[in-house]
Amino acid sequence: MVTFQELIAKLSDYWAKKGCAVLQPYDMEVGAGTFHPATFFGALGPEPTQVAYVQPTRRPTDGRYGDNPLRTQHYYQYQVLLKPSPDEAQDLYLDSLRAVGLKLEEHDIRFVQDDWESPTLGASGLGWEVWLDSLEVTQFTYFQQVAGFPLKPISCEITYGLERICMFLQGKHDLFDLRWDSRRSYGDLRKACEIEYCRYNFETSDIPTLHQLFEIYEREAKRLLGPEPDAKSLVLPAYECTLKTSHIFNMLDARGAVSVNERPTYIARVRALAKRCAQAHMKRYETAEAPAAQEAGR
Amino acid sequence: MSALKAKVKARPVDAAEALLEIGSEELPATNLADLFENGAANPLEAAARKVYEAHRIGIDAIRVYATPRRLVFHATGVQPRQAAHDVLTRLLTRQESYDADGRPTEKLLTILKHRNGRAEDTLVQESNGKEYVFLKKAEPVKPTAQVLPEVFAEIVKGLNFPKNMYWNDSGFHFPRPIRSLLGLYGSRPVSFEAAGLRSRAETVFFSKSRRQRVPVKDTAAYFKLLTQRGVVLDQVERKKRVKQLLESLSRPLGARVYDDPFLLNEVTYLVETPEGLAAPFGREFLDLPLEVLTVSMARKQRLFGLVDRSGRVMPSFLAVLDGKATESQKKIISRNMEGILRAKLQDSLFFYREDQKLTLEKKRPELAGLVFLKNAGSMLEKSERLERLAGRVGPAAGLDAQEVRDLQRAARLCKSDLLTQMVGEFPELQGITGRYYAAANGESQGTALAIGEQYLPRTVNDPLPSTRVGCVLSALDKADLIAACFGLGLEPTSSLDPYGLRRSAVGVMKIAVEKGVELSVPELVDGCLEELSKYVPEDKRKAARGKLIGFYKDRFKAVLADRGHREDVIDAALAARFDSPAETARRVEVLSKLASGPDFIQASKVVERTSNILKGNKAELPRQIRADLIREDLEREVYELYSRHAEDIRRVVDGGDLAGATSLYARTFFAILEQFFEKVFVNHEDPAVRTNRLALLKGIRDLYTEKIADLSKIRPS
Repeated sequence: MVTFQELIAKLSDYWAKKGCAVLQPYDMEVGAGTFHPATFFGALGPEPTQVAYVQPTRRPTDGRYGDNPLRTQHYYQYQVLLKPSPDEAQDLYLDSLRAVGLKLEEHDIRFVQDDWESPTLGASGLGWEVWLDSLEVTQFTYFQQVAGFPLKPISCEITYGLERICMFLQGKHDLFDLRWDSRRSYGDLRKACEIEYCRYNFETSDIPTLHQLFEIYEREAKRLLGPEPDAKSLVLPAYECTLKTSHIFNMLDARGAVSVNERPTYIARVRALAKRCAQAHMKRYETAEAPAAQEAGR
Repeated sequence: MSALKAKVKARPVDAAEALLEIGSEELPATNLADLFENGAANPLEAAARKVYEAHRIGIDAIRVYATPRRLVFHATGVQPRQAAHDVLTRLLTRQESYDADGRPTEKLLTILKHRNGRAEDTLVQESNGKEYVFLKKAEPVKPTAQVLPEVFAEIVKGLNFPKNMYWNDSGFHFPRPIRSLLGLYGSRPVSFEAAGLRSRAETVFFSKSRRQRVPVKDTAAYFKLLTQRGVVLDQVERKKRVKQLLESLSRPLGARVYDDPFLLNEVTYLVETPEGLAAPFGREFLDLPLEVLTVSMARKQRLFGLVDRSGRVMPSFLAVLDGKATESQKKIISRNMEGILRAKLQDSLFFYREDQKLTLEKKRPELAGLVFLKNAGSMLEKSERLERLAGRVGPAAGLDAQEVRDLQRAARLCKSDLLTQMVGEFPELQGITGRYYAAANGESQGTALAIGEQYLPRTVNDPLPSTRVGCVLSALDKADLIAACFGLGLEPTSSLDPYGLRRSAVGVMKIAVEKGVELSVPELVDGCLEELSKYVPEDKRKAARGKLIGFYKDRFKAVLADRGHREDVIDAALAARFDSPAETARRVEVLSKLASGPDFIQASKVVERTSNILKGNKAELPRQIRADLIREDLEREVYELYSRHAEDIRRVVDGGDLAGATSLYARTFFAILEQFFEKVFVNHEDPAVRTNRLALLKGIRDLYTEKIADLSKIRPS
């Protein structure tokens, strides 16, 4: 049986062989692997990039106190970004599923249209949810835009839901029943955590503090970017502040503290920051230095 | 054997088949369904035909087939070479070209020489009102085989989809990446380039998720190959196959497939090799409403729900798979699907329970944060408007006291479900969610049902609300939207109707006409506009009023024409009165039945002749007819008939017997007026006598036209 940690190792091994730099997770709270600077900045600009990494992902509103077999407020994505998108992207992906031990001939596999969009990052693309026996196990996207910038070349983003794929490998119907390794289950390692965070996210987080934090990080991002972001702006620290605002917004949302008509305003505020980070980053190409892109692990 | 061969060879090949296959990554199923299942002519077919025409290649027919991974253009009766075609080039005016004796001028000869043409190849034609000399040159006629590469490349480039993407640096865009191109002309491969790709004489199959390239030698072999591989290329055939699969799986379970045409269409374009399975799920989820269960299955997993003979949901689902599967493979797949379904339904159950922690009434204040329409307030204000309108319109529509209470309550609560997690997850369940929660909150059944049906009819084929309360609520909801849009200058244009106002107005008219709900259009319009006074200033409201009534009138006509009524009969009835569409529709129904009978024809004659005489008159006519101004016997006879029968006729009309009234009217006036018009000269020299005669005729005409229909609009059939 393929354990959860072996699944990660196998994917990393597979993509390393295909020429990807295997990066480490970004060390901040993010809602998706797309937020990792390696993807956000990596997709922008002209130079090629191939990266793969695990990204722990937080979606506070998806918490179910560990009661739902498929939904949690914290889970693991495996993210691959290929730029330019290779012609055989789909086949590479299907082969990766075989490489981790899935017998595709025993499953119904379907590419179901999904026009993916991240309103907070101003990013969008066309592609699919990949369904395995009717469960979405991967998001497969040809990026068309990031932070409002049209992309050239086009990147292909593959985002695996690790728990879900592992459930098929292990024949489990509840992610907490997954074997993490030979001795421990996913639930042993994650369930108490999950419940604790659900209580915090839904019940005890302090709304005024969250509001303040949002303001503070927004202010700091703006301070770093300055009124007119340029090649000298400290883009990466500013981007981290942006990620913070995004997560805090999600926290406020989970707490039911964002009214329906405030929602778009918050999202627009985060997007404005992300957009300015991208602008500053793009300025660097004009001055022929791109440290953010180098950081992305080319 | 050799004789047979010789025979085949000897047959003249004057028409062949051309086939273009675009192999792509999975195309969006809903896009394809929109293109192929909307009942209209397929735009892809027309586009491809145009390209053939532009290249002067005659074809008999072209069919377009679509699966998730292929778009196929199959042309038959393809002519072997281009059609002949002359190109005309304008050279000079006629005067410049020929001298007085008709000989070519120096100027013309120079130009001809320059253009490599001869004087015999010129002709004179008028252009922009002047005569010009043109040079006629025949275009070269190429064999089809030589032109097809261009035709195929152009078809690929010219395809138009609502949403496209880039995937490589060719700059080409398409709904999803194109990965293979195949061109065939009979048994000859057609080599062409598009989207940064060169065509190859092969097609691609996906077997066990592995791409397999298989050579194809001719069009017949192509179709045969697809069939052998189980690919059902023709979408019509495939949809039929999917339906058969579902039926054959549901029958042994004693079940019926829950009707979902949208899902059926989508699934048809999600698979190219349909296969099916049925599996059970846990009974504990039967607590969830039928609509929630089926929507969750359909939207989250593209699974079909099952209902028993009495319409109750059954704890089983059907799935359509792509690709052949053995029984043991199906067993694994169905077990996985069931596990996933369980998790998804558990989530729905979670929403269902969370949502009910607050009643709809308690949730309602949050509607203040939800915009109804920019510059027309929040959803909370909308629900307040609806509640007040309900109090006015409900009793007028003939609802009893309990129904009016139900209506007001439903109007108050009908938008609260927009705040629930269930509607957040499944927007198509708005209204229906409200119905279940209202019932759980202890609201009356009438209130709950009305909330559930407030959006009906959503589409042309949707049913109408089943209860009177639901009908009025739905009409109010729509009328408020329509009035707000007209007041804010957002009325539909001839081509654009972003708020779906025509559909909404048709809904209101259908509710009145088909359900017989008494709604007064002027009162509805006035009521709605008045409620919007905070957002629409008085002058705008005044301007909107007439437009709105006209808008409803047009929809009313369309609804009745759709029910098979003659347009002239509808117009005639409308001209008499349009207040309650239900009442007007009843008049149209009766008139339509009478329309070919002798009474109706005679009554029409009476109205037509009196109207014709009155057309010339511009003066105000008195209501009273003076006996002392009557000069002729026939005139007196008509007057007496009118005095004697006018009241009778009015009484019969008011009693609702239009047939009786029409018959009485015709019998009373037809014969006598025929004589009258023959013998009596209406336009008497004495103006007083003339006016009196006209007033008499108007009295007779109005008897019918004011109450029943203006029959002067009837065209002889």
